[in-house]
Amino acid sequence: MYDLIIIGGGPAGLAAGIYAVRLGLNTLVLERSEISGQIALSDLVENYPGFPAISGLELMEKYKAHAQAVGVETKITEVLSVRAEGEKRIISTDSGDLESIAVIVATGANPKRLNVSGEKEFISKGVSYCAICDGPFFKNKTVVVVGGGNSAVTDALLLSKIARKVYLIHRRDQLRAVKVLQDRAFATPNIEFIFNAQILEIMGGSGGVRKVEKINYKDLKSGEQRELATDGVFIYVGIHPNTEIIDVDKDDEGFISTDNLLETSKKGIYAVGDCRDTPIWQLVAAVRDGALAATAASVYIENFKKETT
Amino acid sequence: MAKVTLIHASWCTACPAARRFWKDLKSEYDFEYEEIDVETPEGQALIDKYGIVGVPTTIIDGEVAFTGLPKKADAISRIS
Repeated sequence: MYDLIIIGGGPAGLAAGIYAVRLGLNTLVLERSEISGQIALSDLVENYPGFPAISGLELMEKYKAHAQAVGVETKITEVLSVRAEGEKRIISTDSGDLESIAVIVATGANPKRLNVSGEKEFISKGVSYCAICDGPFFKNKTVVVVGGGNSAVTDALLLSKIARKVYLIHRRDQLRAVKVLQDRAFATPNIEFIFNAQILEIMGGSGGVRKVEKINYKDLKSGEQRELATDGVFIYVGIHPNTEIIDVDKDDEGFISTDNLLETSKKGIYAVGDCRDTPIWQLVAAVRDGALAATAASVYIENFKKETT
Repeated sequence: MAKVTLIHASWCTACPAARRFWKDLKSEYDFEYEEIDVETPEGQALIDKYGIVGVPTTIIDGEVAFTGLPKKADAISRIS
């Protein structure tokens, strides 16, 4: 039985792993994919202290190298569920069950869907949630970016260097992104802003091979519906937490509720990073969470061992 | 036997993991497997044929099966 199993090998999970190993805990990090962490798909990180500008992938590689260097054990496997059986924590995976005294859930989140007609049909045929992944397909073409936060504006800026034209469509009348990103976007000649607009449908051509050709959107002020020709639609409207594997208290959107030591409603089970209800979903916050939860878990584990010996 | 074609690209950060994923699966299961770079004529032909604008994309038996890295269980289900 492990002292601690950490589910998720992104920044929060690896930070927890590093702290846990240094605290002397017998630790295992489980990750379902070799591409761990949403940050790996971020073109540029400029707000992580110590790194004025670094690609998300490069930063993730540094996390992994550090974890490996301190001896964090990791395993690629899909976790199916987490449950408590008495004092044990049972983690069911696609390669069998594992047991531990404590668990840290660091499962992160995935991009939210817009939930409009045509969105699912045209995934990988013009609909994308990742500009660094699919941007090159739109060289000298027209793209729409949906959203008004940091991710939307950052990827609109990335796409502006590739595409001929970028329309940034946002349902509010102003962006939520940080000022420095907004200023850059407003100063970019081939980015055009469409505010107070809601996408109603993503449409493609008729015939054999269908790809995105246009969108239908509603002007929320006038109520008028308009069509806009586009080759691609990049969607950044928030994140959905990956928390289906565990039954603990969560908010209405599925983010796990935790106390000030990041323990969930079940003793010995902690949640960190983007999968939990947190004031900010940021890299620095995820790393902080990992460190705090590992430290809190180590106290729980120590007490558990004292009580059972 | 299922035929799996992985379409990848040099700029694609997820593609090395997708290539490792399918190669590892090939060591456990029996299926035909090939990798095609989008920047080759063959890759461009497949892009045009299937209307693909995202990588990695996996085609199985002539159908676009996955975009991105699939879950292992889903991949096994498609090749079995």
